[in-house]
Amino acid sequence: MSDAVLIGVGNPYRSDDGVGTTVARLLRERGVPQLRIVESFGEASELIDLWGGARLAVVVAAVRAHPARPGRVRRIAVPDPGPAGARAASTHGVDLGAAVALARALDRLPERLVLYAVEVAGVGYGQRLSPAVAAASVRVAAAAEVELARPR
Amino acid sequence: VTHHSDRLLHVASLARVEGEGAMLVRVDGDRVTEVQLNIYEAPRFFEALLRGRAYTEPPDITSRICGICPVAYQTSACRAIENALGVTVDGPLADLRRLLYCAEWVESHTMHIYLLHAPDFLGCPDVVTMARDHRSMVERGLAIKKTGNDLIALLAGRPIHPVNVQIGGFYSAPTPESLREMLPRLRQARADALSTVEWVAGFDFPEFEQDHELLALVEPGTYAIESGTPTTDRGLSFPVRDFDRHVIEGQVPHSTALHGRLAGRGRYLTGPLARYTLNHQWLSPLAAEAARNAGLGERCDNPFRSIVVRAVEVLYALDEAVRLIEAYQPPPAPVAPVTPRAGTGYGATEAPRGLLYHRYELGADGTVVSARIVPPTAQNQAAIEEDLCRFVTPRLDLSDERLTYECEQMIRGYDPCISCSTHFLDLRIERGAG
Repeated sequence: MSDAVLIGVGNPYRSDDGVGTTVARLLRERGVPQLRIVESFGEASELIDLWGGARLAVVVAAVRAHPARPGRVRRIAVPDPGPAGARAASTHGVDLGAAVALARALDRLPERLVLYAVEVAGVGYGQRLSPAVAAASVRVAAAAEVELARPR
Repeated sequence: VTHHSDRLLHVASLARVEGEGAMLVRVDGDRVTEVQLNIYEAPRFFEALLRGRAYTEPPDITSRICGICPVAYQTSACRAIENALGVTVDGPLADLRRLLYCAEWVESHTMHIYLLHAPDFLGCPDVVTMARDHRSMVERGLAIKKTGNDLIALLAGRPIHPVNVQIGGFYSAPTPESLREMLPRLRQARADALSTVEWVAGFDFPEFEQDHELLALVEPGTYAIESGTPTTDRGLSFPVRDFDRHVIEGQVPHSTALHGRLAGRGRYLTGPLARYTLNHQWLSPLAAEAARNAGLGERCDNPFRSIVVRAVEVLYALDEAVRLIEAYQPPPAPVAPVTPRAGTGYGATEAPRGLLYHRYELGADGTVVSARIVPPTAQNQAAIEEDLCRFVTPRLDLSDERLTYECEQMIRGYDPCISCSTHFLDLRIERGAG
Protein backbone atom coordinates (compact mmCIF):
# COMPACT_ATOMS: atom_id res chain seq x y z
CA MET A 1 0.00 0.00 0.00
CA SER A 2 1.39 3.35 -0.98
CA ASP A 3 2.20 5.96 1.62
CA ALA A 4 0.06 8.75 0.23
CA VAL A 5 -2.79 8.91 -2.23
CA LEU A 6 -4.51 11.79 -4.00
CA ILE A 7 -8.08 10.92 -4.98
CA GLY A 8 -9.79 13.22 -7.44
CA VAL A 9 -13.52 12.60 -7.13
CA GLY A 10 -16.07 13.63 -9.68
CA ASN A 11 -17.46 13.36 -13.15
CA PRO A 12 -15.43 15.25 -15.77
CA TYR A 13 -18.48 15.36 -18.03
CA ARG A 14 -20.57 17.34 -15.49
CA SER A 15 -18.71 20.68 -15.72
CA ASP A 16 -17.60 21.81 -12.21
CA ASP A 17 -18.09 18.30 -10.81
CA GLY A 18 -14.85 17.60 -12.70
CA VAL A 19 -12.74 19.75 -10.36
CA GLY A 20 -11.47 16.67 -8.48
CA THR A 21 -10.32 14.90 -11.62
CA THR A 22 -8.80 18.16 -12.90
CA VAL A 23 -6.66 18.45 -9.75
CA ALA A 24 -5.59 14.82 -10.21
CA ARG A 25 -4.53 15.60 -13.76
CA LEU A 26 -2.62 18.75 -12.70
CA LEU A 27 -0.66 16.81 -10.08
CA ARG A 28 0.03 14.01 -12.53
CA GLU A 29 1.45 16.55 -14.96
CA ARG A 30 3.70 17.97 -12.23
CA GLY A 31 5.07 14.48 -11.63
CA VAL A 32 4.87 14.43 -7.84
CA PRO A 33 7.10 11.54 -6.72
CA GLN A 34 5.99 8.81 -4.30
CA LEU A 35 2.38 9.74 -4.80
CA ARG A 36 -0.42 7.54 -6.02
CA ILE A 37 -2.91 9.62 -8.00
CA VAL A 38 -6.31 8.13 -8.78
CA GLU A 39 -9.62 9.35 -10.10
CA SER A 40 -12.97 8.12 -8.84
CA PHE A 41 -16.64 8.71 -9.45
CA GLY A 42 -16.93 8.71 -5.66
CA GLU A 43 -18.61 5.35 -5.15
CA ALA A 44 -18.27 4.61 -1.44
CA SER A 45 -16.76 1.13 -1.49
CA GLU A 46 -14.27 2.18 -4.13
CA LEU A 47 -13.13 5.18 -2.04
CA ILE A 48 -12.70 2.93 1.01
CA ASP A 49 -10.54 0.57 -1.03
CA LEU A 50 -8.52 3.44 -2.49
CA TRP A 51 -7.63 5.11 0.83
CA GLY A 52 -7.60 2.04 3.11
CA GLY A 53 -4.15 1.50 4.64
CA ALA A 54 -2.68 4.76 3.35
CA ARG A 55 -0.76 7.07 5.71
CA LEU A 56 -2.34 10.10 4.11
CA ALA A 57 -5.21 10.46 1.69
CA VAL A 58 -6.11 13.77 0.12
CA VAL A 59 -9.54 13.81 -1.50
CA VAL A 60 -10.64 16.60 -3.80
CA ALA A 61 -14.34 16.87 -4.59
CA ALA A 62 -16.99 19.32 -5.68
CA VAL A 63 -19.64 20.54 -3.25
CA ARG A 64 -22.78 22.55 -3.73
CA ALA A 65 -23.30 25.27 -1.16
CA HIS A 66 -26.30 27.45 -0.43
CA PRO A 67 -25.68 30.29 -0.88
CA ALA A 68 -22.88 29.39 -3.27
CA ARG A 69 -19.57 31.15 -3.68
CA PRO A 70 -18.09 29.27 -6.66
CA GLY A 71 -14.39 28.56 -6.27
CA ARG A 72 -14.33 28.85 -2.46
CA VAL A 73 -12.29 25.96 -1.05
CA ARG A 74 -12.89 24.31 2.29
CA ARG A 75 -10.14 22.14 3.76
CA ILE A 76 -11.64 19.56 6.07
CA ALA A 77 -9.35 17.27 8.07
CA VAL A 78 -11.11 14.10 9.16
CA PRO A 79 -12.10 13.26 11.93
CA ASP A 80 -13.65 16.71 11.75
CA PRO A 81 -16.87 15.74 9.98
CA GLY A 82 -17.39 19.21 8.55
CA PRO A 83 -20.55 21.25 8.66
CA ALA A 84 -23.68 19.32 9.53
CA GLY A 85 -25.44 18.16 6.40
CA ALA A 86 -22.47 18.78 4.12
CA ARG A 87 -22.71 16.50 1.12
CA ALA A 88 -20.57 16.13 -1.94
CA ALA A 89 -22.26 16.75 -5.29
CA SER A 90 -22.76 13.05 -5.90
CA THR A 91 -25.45 11.70 -8.15
CA HIS A 92 -25.14 8.29 -6.49
CA GLY A 93 -27.03 6.84 -3.57
CA VAL A 94 -24.08 6.87 -1.17
CA ASP A 95 -22.05 10.07 -1.15
CA LEU A 96 -18.56 11.06 -0.03
CA GLY A 97 -19.66 12.00 3.48
CA ALA A 98 -21.25 8.59 3.88
CA ALA A 99 -18.09 6.95 2.54
CA VAL A 100 -16.06 8.63 5.31
CA ALA A 101 -18.60 7.66 7.95
CA LEU A 102 -18.78 4.11 6.63
CA ALA A 103 -14.98 3.79 6.57
CA ARG A 104 -14.85 5.07 10.16
CA ALA A 105 -17.45 2.52 11.27
CA LEU A 106 -15.40 -0.20 9.59
CA ASP A 107 -11.98 1.07 10.84
CA ARG A 108 -10.87 1.59 7.28
CA LEU A 109 -9.94 5.28 7.31
CA PRO A 110 -6.35 6.20 6.40
CA GLU A 111 -4.12 7.51 9.17
CA ARG A 112 -4.91 11.03 7.97
CA LEU A 113 -7.67 12.04 5.58
CA VAL A 114 -7.91 15.55 4.22
CA LEU A 115 -10.79 16.69 2.04
CA TYR A 116 -10.59 19.69 -0.21
CA ALA A 117 -14.15 20.65 -1.04
CA VAL A 118 -14.57 23.12 -3.85
CA GLU A 119 -17.82 25.05 -4.14
CA VAL A 120 -19.20 24.80 -7.65
CA ALA A 121 -21.07 27.18 -9.93
CA GLY A 122 -22.90 24.37 -11.68
CA VAL A 123 -22.84 20.65 -12.47
CA GLY A 124 -24.63 20.65 -15.81
CA TYR A 125 -23.41 18.76 -18.83
CA GLY A 126 -20.06 19.76 -20.32
CA GLN A 127 -16.35 19.27 -19.85
CA ARG A 128 -15.35 22.86 -18.96
CA LEU A 129 -14.89 24.13 -15.45
CA SER A 130 -16.32 27.56 -14.71
CA PRO A 131 -13.56 30.24 -14.45
CA ALA A 132 -13.81 30.47 -10.65
CA VAL A 133 -13.59 26.69 -10.20
CA ALA A 134 -10.79 26.35 -12.77
CA ALA A 135 -8.78 28.91 -10.79
CA ALA A 136 -9.58 27.02 -7.58
CA SER A 137 -8.33 23.76 -9.10
CA VAL A 138 -4.86 25.32 -9.55
CA ARG A 139 -4.84 26.56 -5.93
CA VAL A 140 -5.98 23.18 -4.62
CA ALA A 141 -3.36 21.32 -6.65
CA ALA A 142 -0.64 23.54 -5.15
CA ALA A 143 -2.02 23.15 -1.63
CA ALA A 144 -2.39 19.38 -2.01
CA GLU A 145 1.18 19.09 -3.26
CA VAL A 146 2.45 20.86 -0.12
CA GLU A 147 0.15 18.74 2.05
CA LEU A 148 1.36 15.53 0.50
CA ALA A 149 5.03 16.53 0.83
CA ARG A 150 4.78 17.12 4.61
CA PRO A 151 6.84 14.79 6.77
CA ARG A 152 4.74 12.30 8.68
CA VAL B 1 -52.95 7.50 13.99
CA THR B 2 -53.38 10.83 12.31
CA HIS B 3 -56.31 12.19 10.39
CA HIS B 4 -55.36 15.24 8.44
CA SER B 5 -57.87 17.01 6.28
CA ASP B 6 -55.28 19.02 4.38
CA ARG B 7 -51.62 18.24 4.56
CA LEU B 8 -48.47 18.04 2.52
CA LEU B 9 -45.62 15.59 3.00
CA HIS B 10 -42.35 16.52 1.42
CA VAL B 11 -39.11 14.55 1.49
CA ALA B 12 -36.41 16.80 0.07
CA SER B 13 -34.31 13.92 -1.19
CA LEU B 14 -35.29 10.29 -1.35
CA ALA B 15 -32.09 8.56 -0.34
CA ARG B 16 -30.51 5.39 -1.62
CA VAL B 17 -31.75 5.47 -5.19
CA GLU B 18 -29.66 6.03 -8.25
CA GLY B 19 -30.38 9.38 -9.89
CA GLU B 20 -32.57 12.44 -9.50
CA GLY B 21 -36.35 12.45 -9.33
CA ALA B 22 -39.39 13.02 -7.17
CA MET B 23 -42.55 11.21 -6.10
CA LEU B 24 -45.84 12.98 -5.66
CA VAL B 25 -48.76 11.32 -3.86
CA ARG B 26 -51.97 13.36 -3.77
CA VAL B 27 -54.64 12.28 -1.28
CA ASP B 28 -58.17 13.60 -1.21
CA GLY B 29 -59.88 12.53 1.98
CA ASP B 30 -59.52 8.75 2.07
CA ARG B 31 -58.77 8.43 -1.59
CA VAL B 32 -55.43 8.52 -3.42
CA THR B 33 -56.19 10.66 -6.47
CA GLU B 34 -52.81 10.86 -8.11
CA VAL B 35 -49.38 9.27 -7.93
CA GLN B 36 -46.54 10.54 -10.07
CA LEU B 37 -42.97 9.33 -10.32
CA ASN B 38 -41.41 12.63 -11.42
CA ILE B 39 -38.17 12.14 -13.22
CA TYR B 40 -36.79 15.61 -13.73
CA GLU B 41 -33.26 14.64 -14.56
CA ALA B 42 -32.47 16.45 -17.77
CA PRO B 43 -33.01 14.43 -20.94
CA ARG B 44 -29.67 13.13 -22.12
CA PHE B 45 -30.31 12.70 -25.83
CA PHE B 46 -28.10 9.64 -26.21
CA GLU B 47 -30.18 8.34 -29.10
CA ALA B 48 -29.67 11.59 -30.99
CA LEU B 49 -25.93 11.87 -30.36
CA LEU B 50 -25.41 8.32 -31.64
CA ARG B 51 -26.62 9.34 -35.10
CA GLY B 52 -23.73 9.81 -37.48
CA ARG B 53 -21.28 7.84 -35.32
CA ALA B 54 -19.48 4.73 -36.54
CA TYR B 55 -21.02 1.32 -35.82
CA THR B 56 -18.02 0.61 -33.59
CA GLU B 57 -18.87 3.41 -31.14
CA PRO B 58 -22.24 2.69 -29.46
CA PRO B 59 -20.88 0.13 -26.94
CA ASP B 60 -18.51 2.70 -25.42
CA ILE B 61 -20.85 5.68 -25.81
CA THR B 62 -23.90 3.97 -24.32
CA SER B 63 -21.87 2.47 -21.47
CA ARG B 64 -21.67 6.07 -20.23
CA ILE B 65 -25.42 6.07 -19.61
CA CYS B 66 -24.82 4.28 -16.31
CA GLY B 67 -21.90 3.89 -13.91
CA ILE B 68 -23.57 0.91 -12.20
CA CYS B 69 -24.56 -1.19 -15.20
CA PRO B 70 -22.30 -0.15 -18.12
CA VAL B 71 -21.79 -3.79 -19.16
CA ALA B 72 -25.53 -4.09 -19.79
CA TYR B 73 -25.42 -1.12 -22.18
CA GLN B 74 -22.32 -2.41 -23.92
CA THR B 75 -23.77 -5.87 -24.35
CA SER B 76 -27.18 -4.76 -25.64
CA ALA B 77 -25.42 -2.39 -28.08
CA CYS B 78 -23.11 -5.17 -29.28
CA ARG B 79 -25.92 -7.63 -29.76
CA ALA B 80 -28.04 -5.15 -31.73
CA ILE B 81 -25.20 -4.10 -34.05
CA GLU B 82 -24.01 -7.68 -34.47
CA ASN B 83 -27.58 -8.54 -35.41
CA ALA B 84 -27.55 -5.82 -38.06
CA LEU B 85 -24.19 -6.97 -39.44
CA GLY B 86 -24.88 -10.70 -39.35
CA VAL B 87 -22.09 -11.34 -36.86
CA THR B 88 -22.27 -14.44 -34.71
CA VAL B 89 -20.50 -14.41 -31.34
CA ASP B 90 -20.34 -17.91 -29.91
CA GLY B 91 -18.08 -20.35 -28.10
CA PRO B 92 -15.53 -18.89 -25.68
CA LEU B 93 -16.33 -15.31 -26.76
CA ALA B 94 -19.98 -15.76 -25.84
CA ASP B 95 -18.89 -17.35 -22.55
CA LEU B 96 -16.62 -14.38 -21.80
CA ARG B 97 -19.48 -12.00 -22.52
CA ARG B 98 -21.74 -13.91 -20.10
CA LEU B 99 -18.94 -14.00 -17.50
CA LEU B 100 -18.51 -10.22 -17.73
CA TYR B 101 -22.25 -9.75 -17.34
CA CYS B 102 -22.31 -12.08 -14.30
CA ALA B 103 -19.64 -9.87 -12.71
CA GLU B 104 -21.83 -6.82 -13.25
CA TRP B 105 -24.85 -8.54 -11.67
CA VAL B 106 -22.66 -9.32 -8.65
CA GLU B 107 -21.43 -5.75 -8.12
CA SER B 108 -24.71 -4.01 -8.97
CA HIS B 109 -27.04 -6.28 -7.01
CA THR B 110 -24.67 -6.46 -4.01
CA MET B 111 -24.48 -2.69 -3.84
CA HIS B 112 -28.25 -2.51 -3.85
CA ILE B 113 -28.74 -5.31 -1.32
CA TYR B 114 -26.18 -4.15 1.24
CA LEU B 115 -25.76 -0.40 0.76
CA LEU B 116 -29.20 0.71 -0.37
CA HIS B 117 -31.94 -1.78 0.55
CA ALA B 118 -30.93 -3.82 3.64
CA PRO B 119 -30.90 -0.78 5.97
CA ASP B 120 -34.68 -0.54 5.46
CA PHE B 121 -35.22 -3.98 6.97
CA LEU B 122 -32.85 -3.47 9.90
CA GLY B 123 -34.36 -0.21 11.10
CA CYS B 124 -31.28 1.73 10.03
CA PRO B 125 -31.52 5.10 8.29
CA ASP B 126 -28.45 4.33 6.16
CA VAL B 127 -25.58 1.93 5.61
CA VAL B 128 -23.34 3.87 8.01
CA THR B 129 -25.67 3.15 10.93
CA MET B 130 -25.98 -0.39 9.66
CA ALA B 131 -22.17 -0.70 9.66
CA ARG B 132 -22.09 0.22 13.37
CA ASP B 133 -24.76 -2.30 14.33
CA HIS B 134 -24.12 -5.02 11.74
CA ARG B 135 -20.46 -4.51 10.89
CA SER B 136 -19.67 -8.03 9.69
CA MET B 137 -22.64 -7.94 7.31
CA VAL B 138 -21.46 -4.72 5.67
CA GLU B 139 -17.89 -6.04 5.40
CA ARG B 140 -19.24 -9.17 3.73
CA GLY B 141 -21.22 -7.09 1.25
CA LEU B 142 -18.26 -4.89 0.38
CA ALA B 143 -16.10 -7.97 -0.15
CA ILE B 144 -18.62 -9.59 -2.53
CA LYS B 145 -19.01 -6.33 -4.43
CA LYS B 146 -15.26 -5.89 -4.74
CA THR B 147 -14.94 -9.40 -6.18
CA GLY B 148 -17.49 -8.46 -8.84
CA ASN B 149 -15.71 -5.18 -9.58
CA ASP B 150 -12.32 -6.89 -9.81
CA LEU B 151 -13.65 -9.52 -12.21
CA ILE B 152 -15.01 -6.74 -14.46
CA ALA B 153 -11.63 -5.00 -14.30
CA LEU B 154 -9.83 -8.24 -15.18
CA LEU B 155 -12.05 -8.93 -18.17
CA ALA B 156 -12.66 -5.41 -19.39
CA GLY B 157 -9.92 -3.08 -18.20
CA ARG B 158 -11.65 -1.22 -15.36
CA PRO B 159 -14.71 -1.71 -13.15
CA ILE B 160 -16.67 1.37 -14.26
CA HIS B 161 -17.21 2.10 -17.93
CA PRO B 162 -15.08 -0.84 -19.10
CA VAL B 163 -12.93 -0.36 -22.20
CA ASN B 164 -12.25 -3.88 -23.56
CA VAL B 165 -15.58 -4.60 -25.25
CA GLN B 166 -16.09 -4.23 -28.98
CA ILE B 167 -18.51 -5.36 -31.65
CA GLY B 168 -17.83 -9.07 -32.20
CA GLY B 169 -16.18 -9.67 -28.85
CA PHE B 170 -13.23 -8.08 -27.05
CA TYR B 171 -10.01 -6.19 -27.80
CA SER B 172 -8.08 -8.83 -25.87
CA ALA B 173 -9.09 -12.12 -24.30
CA PRO B 174 -7.84 -13.12 -20.84
CA THR B 175 -5.53 -16.06 -20.33
CA PRO B 176 -6.98 -19.10 -18.55
CA GLU B 177 -4.35 -18.60 -15.83
CA SER B 178 -5.41 -15.03 -15.10
CA LEU B 179 -9.04 -16.09 -14.77
CA ARG B 180 -8.26 -19.14 -12.64
CA GLU B 181 -6.35 -16.95 -10.22
CA MET B 182 -9.74 -15.40 -9.43
CA LEU B 183 -11.34 -18.76 -8.56
CA PRO B 184 -10.53 -18.84 -4.81
CA ARG B 185 -12.02 -15.35 -4.39
CA LEU B 186 -15.05 -16.23 -6.49
CA ARG B 187 -15.66 -19.38 -4.43
CA GLN B 188 -15.40 -17.34 -1.22
CA ALA B 189 -17.80 -14.76 -2.65
CA ARG B 190 -20.17 -17.59 -3.63
CA ALA B 191 -20.14 -18.89 -0.04
CA ASP B 192 -20.78 -15.33 1.17
CA ALA B 193 -23.59 -14.95 -1.37
CA LEU B 194 -25.24 -18.12 -0.03
CA SER B 195 -25.05 -16.61 3.48
CA THR B 196 -26.56 -13.42 2.04
CA VAL B 197 -29.60 -15.30 0.75
CA GLU B 198 -30.11 -16.90 4.16
CA TRP B 199 -29.69 -13.49 5.86
CA VAL B 200 -32.13 -11.49 3.75
CA ALA B 201 -34.69 -14.32 3.75
CA GLY B 202 -35.11 -13.67 7.46
CA PHE B 203 -36.16 -10.03 7.02
CA ASP B 204 -39.77 -8.94 7.70
CA PHE B 205 -41.56 -8.02 4.49
CA PRO B 206 -44.69 -5.86 4.31
CA GLU B 207 -47.68 -7.69 2.82
CA PHE B 208 -48.11 -6.52 -0.74
CA GLU B 209 -48.37 -8.19 -4.13
CA GLN B 210 -48.06 -6.49 -7.48
CA ASP B 211 -50.39 -7.63 -10.26
CA HIS B 212 -48.58 -6.49 -13.39
CA GLU B 213 -47.75 -8.52 -16.44
CA LEU B 214 -44.12 -9.57 -16.00
CA LEU B 215 -41.69 -9.26 -18.92
CA ALA B 216 -38.25 -10.86 -19.07
CA LEU B 217 -35.99 -12.56 -21.54
CA VAL B 218 -36.24 -16.33 -21.66
CA GLU B 219 -33.48 -18.57 -22.97
CA PRO B 220 -34.62 -22.15 -22.35
CA GLY B 221 -32.00 -24.16 -20.51
CA THR B 222 -30.27 -21.24 -18.88
CA TYR B 223 -31.17 -18.29 -16.64
CA ALA B 224 -31.42 -15.50 -19.21
CA ILE B 225 -28.78 -12.80 -18.88
CA GLU B 226 -27.11 -11.71 -22.10
CA SER B 227 -29.63 -13.13 -24.58
CA GLY B 228 -33.13 -14.52 -24.87
CA THR B 229 -36.65 -14.00 -26.17
CA PRO B 230 -38.91 -11.36 -24.59
CA THR B 231 -41.65 -13.32 -22.82
CA THR B 232 -44.38 -12.50 -20.32
CA ASP B 233 -45.99 -14.56 -17.59
CA ARG B 234 -49.34 -14.14 -19.37
CA GLY B 235 -48.47 -15.91 -22.59
CA LEU B 236 -46.97 -13.17 -24.74
CA SER B 237 -43.70 -13.95 -26.47
CA PHE B 238 -42.11 -12.16 -29.39
CA PRO B 239 -38.72 -11.99 -31.09
CA VAL B 240 -36.47 -9.08 -30.06
CA ARG B 241 -36.88 -7.57 -33.53
CA ASP B 242 -40.59 -7.04 -32.78
CA PHE B 243 -39.93 -5.12 -29.55
CA ASP B 244 -40.82 -1.77 -31.15
CA ARG B 245 -44.20 -3.16 -32.16
CA HIS B 246 -45.01 -4.55 -28.73
CA VAL B 247 -43.58 -1.89 -26.44
CA ILE B 248 -45.06 1.55 -26.94
CA GLU B 249 -43.37 4.47 -25.25
CA GLY B 250 -45.29 7.63 -24.43
CA GLN B 251 -44.51 10.97 -22.87
CA VAL B 252 -46.10 12.07 -19.62
CA PRO B 253 -45.90 15.68 -18.46
CA HIS B 254 -44.28 14.90 -15.10
CA SER B 255 -41.26 12.91 -16.31
CA THR B 256 -38.31 13.32 -18.64
CA ALA B 257 -38.28 9.53 -19.08
CA LEU B 258 -40.73 7.87 -21.42
CA HIS B 259 -43.33 5.49 -19.99
CA GLY B 260 -43.36 2.05 -21.61
CA ARG B 261 -46.52 0.02 -22.12
CA LEU B 262 -47.24 -3.26 -23.88
CA ALA B 263 -49.36 -2.57 -26.95
CA GLY B 264 -52.98 -3.54 -26.31
CA ARG B 265 -52.13 -4.78 -22.81
CA GLY B 266 -50.94 -1.87 -20.70
CA ARG B 267 -48.40 -1.44 -17.93
CA TYR B 268 -45.91 -4.17 -17.16
CA LEU B 269 -42.95 -4.90 -14.95
CA THR B 270 -39.43 -5.97 -15.83
CA GLY B 271 -36.53 -6.73 -13.47
CA PRO B 272 -35.69 -9.35 -10.82
CA LEU B 273 -39.31 -10.33 -10.00
CA ALA B 274 -40.08 -10.90 -13.68
CA ARG B 275 -36.80 -12.62 -14.35
CA TYR B 276 -37.16 -15.00 -11.42
CA THR B 277 -40.76 -15.83 -12.26
CA LEU B 278 -39.94 -16.64 -15.88
CA ASN B 279 -36.50 -18.23 -15.39
CA HIS B 280 -36.30 -19.83 -11.92
CA GLN B 281 -36.42 -23.34 -13.36
CA TRP B 282 -33.01 -22.76 -14.93
CA LEU B 283 -31.18 -21.66 -11.79
CA SER B 284 -28.14 -23.74 -10.91
CA PRO B 285 -28.83 -26.47 -8.33
CA LEU B 286 -27.09 -24.43 -5.62
CA ALA B 287 -29.07 -21.25 -6.37
CA ALA B 288 -32.34 -23.18 -6.79
CA GLU B 289 -31.91 -24.85 -3.41
CA ALA B 290 -31.07 -21.52 -1.78
CA ALA B 291 -34.18 -19.97 -3.36
CA ARG B 292 -36.37 -22.81 -2.04
CA ASN B 293 -34.87 -22.55 1.44
CA ALA B 294 -35.46 -18.78 1.34
CA GLY B 295 -39.17 -19.40 0.76
CA LEU B 296 -39.31 -18.39 -2.89
CA GLY B 297 -41.77 -20.45 -4.89
CA GLU B 298 -42.72 -20.57 -8.57
CA ARG B 299 -42.95 -16.78 -8.71
CA CYS B 300 -42.31 -13.74 -6.59
CA ASP B 301 -44.82 -10.85 -6.64
CA ASN B 302 -43.87 -8.91 -3.52
CA PRO B 303 -41.55 -6.03 -4.53
CA PHE B 304 -40.23 -5.87 -0.95
CA ARG B 305 -38.97 -9.44 -1.39
CA SER B 306 -37.00 -8.43 -4.46
CA ILE B 307 -33.98 -8.25 -2.13
CA VAL B 308 -34.22 -12.06 -1.76
CA VAL B 309 -34.43 -12.51 -5.53
CA ARG B 310 -31.40 -10.26 -6.02
CA ALA B 311 -29.48 -12.28 -3.44
CA VAL B 312 -30.36 -15.50 -5.29
CA GLU B 313 -29.25 -13.92 -8.55
CA VAL B 314 -25.91 -12.90 -7.02
CA LEU B 315 -25.42 -16.49 -5.86
CA TYR B 316 -26.33 -17.75 -9.31
CA ALA B 317 -24.03 -15.25 -11.06
CA LEU B 318 -21.08 -16.32 -8.90
CA ASP B 319 -21.86 -20.01 -9.40
CA GLU B 320 -22.06 -19.37 -13.12
CA ALA B 321 -18.80 -17.39 -13.07
CA VAL B 322 -16.99 -20.29 -11.41
CA ARG B 323 -18.44 -22.73 -13.94
CA LEU B 324 -17.49 -20.55 -16.92
CA ILE B 325 -13.93 -20.01 -15.69
CA GLU B 326 -13.36 -23.70 -14.90
CA ALA B 327 -14.43 -24.57 -18.46
CA TYR B 328 -12.67 -21.66 -20.17
CA GLN B 329 -10.51 -22.30 -23.19
CA PRO B 330 -9.20 -19.13 -24.83
CA PRO B 331 -10.80 -18.22 -28.18
CA PRO B 332 -8.68 -18.43 -31.35
CA ALA B 333 -9.15 -14.67 -31.75
CA PRO B 334 -10.55 -12.09 -29.27
CA VAL B 335 -13.08 -10.85 -31.80
CA ALA B 336 -15.27 -12.38 -34.53
CA PRO B 337 -14.87 -10.97 -38.05
CA VAL B 338 -17.03 -7.87 -38.58
CA THR B 339 -17.82 -6.18 -41.91
CA PRO B 340 -20.02 -3.07 -42.06
CA ARG B 341 -23.18 -3.12 -44.17
CA ALA B 342 -26.54 -1.43 -44.28
CA GLY B 343 -29.22 -2.90 -42.03
CA THR B 344 -31.21 -2.68 -38.85
CA GLY B 345 -30.34 -4.72 -35.76
CA TYR B 346 -32.06 -5.47 -32.47
CA GLY B 347 -30.54 -6.49 -29.13
CA ALA B 348 -31.91 -7.16 -25.67
CA THR B 349 -30.19 -8.29 -22.48
CA GLU B 350 -31.14 -8.52 -18.80
CA ALA B 351 -29.56 -5.54 -17.07
CA PRO B 352 -29.60 -5.89 -13.26
CA ARG B 353 -32.77 -3.74 -13.18
CA GLY B 354 -34.47 -5.49 -16.10
CA LEU B 355 -34.75 -5.87 -19.84
CA LEU B 356 -32.59 -3.40 -21.79
CA TYR B 357 -33.38 -3.02 -25.48
CA HIS B 358 -31.29 -1.36 -28.20
CA ARG B 359 -32.04 -0.93 -31.89
CA TYR B 360 -29.68 0.52 -34.49
CA GLU B 361 -30.21 1.34 -38.14
CA LEU B 362 -26.89 1.42 -39.99
CA GLY B 363 -25.90 2.88 -43.35
CA ALA B 364 -23.82 1.00 -45.93
CA ASP B 365 -20.52 2.13 -44.36
CA GLY B 366 -21.78 1.24 -40.88
CA THR B 367 -22.70 4.78 -39.85
CA VAL B 368 -25.52 4.89 -37.28
CA VAL B 369 -28.60 6.33 -38.98
CA SER B 370 -30.93 5.97 -36.01
CA ALA B 371 -30.89 4.46 -32.54
CA ARG B 372 -33.47 3.51 -29.93
CA ILE B 373 -32.67 2.63 -26.32
CA VAL B 374 -35.34 1.44 -23.86
CA PRO B 375 -33.94 1.14 -20.31
CA PRO B 376 -35.67 -0.91 -17.58
CA THR B 377 -36.65 1.94 -15.24
CA ALA B 378 -38.57 3.74 -18.00
CA GLN B 379 -40.49 0.53 -18.64
CA ASN B 380 -41.28 0.17 -14.93
CA GLN B 381 -42.44 3.73 -14.18
CA ALA B 382 -46.12 3.15 -14.80
CA ALA B 383 -46.06 -0.06 -12.74
CA ILE B 384 -44.27 1.66 -9.84
CA GLU B 385 -46.86 4.46 -9.83
CA GLU B 386 -49.71 1.95 -9.84
CA ASP B 387 -48.12 -0.01 -6.99
CA LEU B 388 -47.64 3.15 -4.94
CA CYS B 389 -51.31 3.97 -5.38
CA ARG B 390 -52.42 0.48 -4.33
CA PHE B 391 -49.92 0.43 -1.45
CA VAL B 392 -50.90 3.82 -0.02
CA THR B 393 -54.68 3.46 -0.23
CA PRO B 394 -55.15 0.97 2.66
CA ARG B 395 -52.47 2.72 4.75
CA LEU B 396 -53.83 6.27 4.87
CA ASP B 397 -54.27 6.02 8.64
CA LEU B 398 -50.50 5.85 9.04
CA SER B 399 -48.71 8.99 10.11
CA ASP B 400 -47.26 11.11 7.34
CA GLU B 401 -43.77 10.18 8.50
CA ARG B 402 -44.44 6.43 8.51
CA LEU B 403 -46.32 6.47 5.22
CA THR B 404 -43.58 8.46 3.52
CA TYR B 405 -40.96 6.03 4.85
CA GLU B 406 -42.82 2.98 3.61
CA CYS B 407 -43.32 4.58 0.18
CA GLU B 408 -39.61 5.28 -0.07
CA GLN B 409 -38.88 1.70 0.95
CA MET B 410 -41.18 0.42 -1.76
CA ILE B 411 -39.55 2.61 -4.41
CA ARG B 412 -36.12 1.33 -3.37
CA GLY B 413 -37.42 -2.21 -3.81
CA TYR B 414 -37.61 -1.52 -7.52
CA ASP B 415 -34.01 -0.24 -7.51
CA PRO B 416 -34.95 2.49 -9.98
CA CYS B 417 -32.01 3.74 -11.97
CA ILE B 418 -33.18 7.23 -12.80
CA SER B 419 -29.83 8.10 -14.36
CA CYS B 420 -30.39 5.34 -16.84
CA SER B 421 -33.96 6.28 -17.62
CA THR B 422 -33.09 9.81 -18.56
CA HIS B 423 -31.28 11.85 -11.97
CA PHE B 424 -32.11 13.26 -6.62
CA LEU B 425 -35.52 11.96 -5.84
CA ASP B 426 -37.98 14.00 -3.80
CA LEU B 427 -41.10 12.42 -2.29
CA ARG B 428 -44.16 14.53 -1.65
CA ILE B 429 -47.57 13.46 -0.36
CA GLU B 430 -50.32 16.02 -0.66
CA ARG B 431 -53.55 15.49 1.27
CA GLY B 432 -56.55 17.52 0.20
CA ALA B 433 -59.71 18.22 2.18
CA GLY B 434 -61.66 15.39 0.57
